[in-house]
Amino acid sequence: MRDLLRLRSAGFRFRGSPRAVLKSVDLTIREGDRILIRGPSGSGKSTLLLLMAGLAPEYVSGVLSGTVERFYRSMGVVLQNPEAQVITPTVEEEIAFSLENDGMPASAIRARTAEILDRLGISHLAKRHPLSLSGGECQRVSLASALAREPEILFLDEPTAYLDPDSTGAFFESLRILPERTAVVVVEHRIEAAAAFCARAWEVVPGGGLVSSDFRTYPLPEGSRTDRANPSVGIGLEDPADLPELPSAAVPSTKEAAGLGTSASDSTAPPALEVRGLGHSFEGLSPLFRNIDLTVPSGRIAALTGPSGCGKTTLLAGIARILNPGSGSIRIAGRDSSSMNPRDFHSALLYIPQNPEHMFVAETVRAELGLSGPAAFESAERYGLDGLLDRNPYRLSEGEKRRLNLCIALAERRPLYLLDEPTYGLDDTARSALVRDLGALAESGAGVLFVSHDEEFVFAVSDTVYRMRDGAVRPEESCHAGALKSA
Amino acid sequence: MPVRLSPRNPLAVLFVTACLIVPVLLSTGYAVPSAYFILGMVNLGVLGGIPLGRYLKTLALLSLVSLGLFFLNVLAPAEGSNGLARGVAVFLRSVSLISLSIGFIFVVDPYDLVRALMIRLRLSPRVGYALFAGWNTIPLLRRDLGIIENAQAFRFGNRRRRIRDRVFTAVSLLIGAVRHAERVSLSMAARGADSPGPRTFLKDSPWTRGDTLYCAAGFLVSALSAAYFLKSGLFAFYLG
Repeated sequence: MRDLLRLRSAGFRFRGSPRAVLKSVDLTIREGDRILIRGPSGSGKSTLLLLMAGLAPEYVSGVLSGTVERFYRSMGVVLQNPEAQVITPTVEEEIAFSLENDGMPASAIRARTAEILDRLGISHLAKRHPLSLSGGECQRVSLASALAREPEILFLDEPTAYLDPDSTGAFFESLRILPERTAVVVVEHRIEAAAAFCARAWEVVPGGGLVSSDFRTYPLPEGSRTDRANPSVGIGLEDPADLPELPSAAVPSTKEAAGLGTSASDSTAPPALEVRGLGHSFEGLSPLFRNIDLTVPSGRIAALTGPSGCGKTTLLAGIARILNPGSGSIRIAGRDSSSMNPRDFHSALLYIPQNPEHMFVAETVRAELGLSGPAAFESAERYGLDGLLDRNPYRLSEGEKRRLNLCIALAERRPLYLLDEPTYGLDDTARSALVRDLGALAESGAGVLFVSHDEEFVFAVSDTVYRMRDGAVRPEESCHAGALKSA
Repeated sequence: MPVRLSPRNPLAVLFVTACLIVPVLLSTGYAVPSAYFILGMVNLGVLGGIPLGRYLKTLALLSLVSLGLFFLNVLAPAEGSNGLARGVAVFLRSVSLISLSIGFIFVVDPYDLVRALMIRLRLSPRVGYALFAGWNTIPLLRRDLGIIENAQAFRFGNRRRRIRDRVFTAVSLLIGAVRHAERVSLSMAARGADSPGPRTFLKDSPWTRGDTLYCAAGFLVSALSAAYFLKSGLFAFYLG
């Protein structure tokens, strides 16, 4: 097997940054290698991938040190956000794009495109606009596009970040169609998913080095519910009442706003969220979901899961009135949301969108945290952001941006929290911190509803799991909550 | 977004639309804009497939600008000119230009136009596909704007937001657009968009004899109409 790529003492520093994100990286990739690159969020995994793919420093400005020798003739790249890879108006053109760039005749392109679509089982999508597809479908189109050139080496940058477990499995299964000689380099946080496919693992360690690693996973802390009985475990406070208070005139305490007594599990308190008969359909399309009933009691955590594209994010956006909620009723802490004026409504819940940048309003991390008070700084310390206070929030890594969102959210006190994919981009340490902090949040009386594909996280933190499929939701008690009850 | 509506090559439609627009641009009378407005409608009829309801709705909406220009001329006429006459002329000219422009937009798929420019007029594929990606970004930006506004409103709750914080909604959107452009650019580069060799296209943008005839007919009708109006003295270059 010949060498395809050789890095010798390679390092990379972004333009304008005083420190190198990668240092002294030595790595050789040969034909047929299947390699996992793992590491904490923000450690430089994606940058390493771009370096290997020849996209840095050519297209990502920075300074390269050491040597990077590329011996491969063709390569494919799949990036983490499928939306950001869409260029053309149809799936077949998207797949044909790289072949057109290579100057292949149209008839050969047509044949190759049809073959790839068939091999990946997405022939029925050929004429669709890629942006009209679900995340899972769109990512398979990205993979098809990368495979079209029959690459000698394939670079995958968190390709399953936006996918549900089924789609993740299907994505890695799709890779089995690759010839044995094709090398694959995967950057992935979902170690278990990648472990079945990869043979070797490397880890980018803080400081920018690359060391040989394994496929060990670090389980999330058990017993979020237990922790909720003792919230100091999570949030570093002696009592949940010590959670930072906003001025009383501005926002009532979580329990007051929720109409709660002293106990988070007070059965007389109105639920933090009560949805009845909710339906939604996009213009000209059949209903995405209908007659949705869903309850999140105060002091409880509910997860909403389901296949990519089933409408989870839309349901969350409907509850938050970002989209027209359509038919049905939504009550927040006992109050009908349709009768609330915008200011009351906006202070009754906190919505954290999928894209962490959408919450930013300041030029430094310090200023962002300052808008949410001292508790936000405490969270920042626990999430490892205290060393980044003077950085521009937009210049953080995806995981760091997500952690900053969480620091802001945890410092606010609302009866209801809605989180869209809160663990996306988080490494194991940050996910563990989030399990504890959501637990502490619930113990303080807030209801939490989150959308996630992260099954491990879902079971670690939630009391109820709502499965969404075919336009309906079905509640089931979380394995975790069930286990605790049995105990 | 309209699907492919016209069987004609987008460049042919562009040429004929330009032939119809130029005389209107040069004229400030009543007759020429009115006549070319009608010719534009006939052109849309020939091309076929226009979603008439949406077209008329858009025309009516944008014609409010023309109405504004009319009232501006009537209420504040230029010294020594007949405000009403000038107002009517400006109104007709403006409506005619709007109808011709949006007619083109409604019958030509933007992707087809850019593809035709790349294949027929050698527009750089790097620029062409950047335009594709830009067009794709519009609905994403619209969606993101709603999310950003709401996410920030939730973040501040019932606390008063400073004007500076509100401005950041636009900054967030802009930064998001720039980031998206960077990622798309990276994706294009990873797929060989900068390959030095000759490029091919899966979908052609054929130029048929029908396109040539359509262009010739469009040019002749426009030119002969202009000649008629010139000869009959109805082609007023500017009002006295």
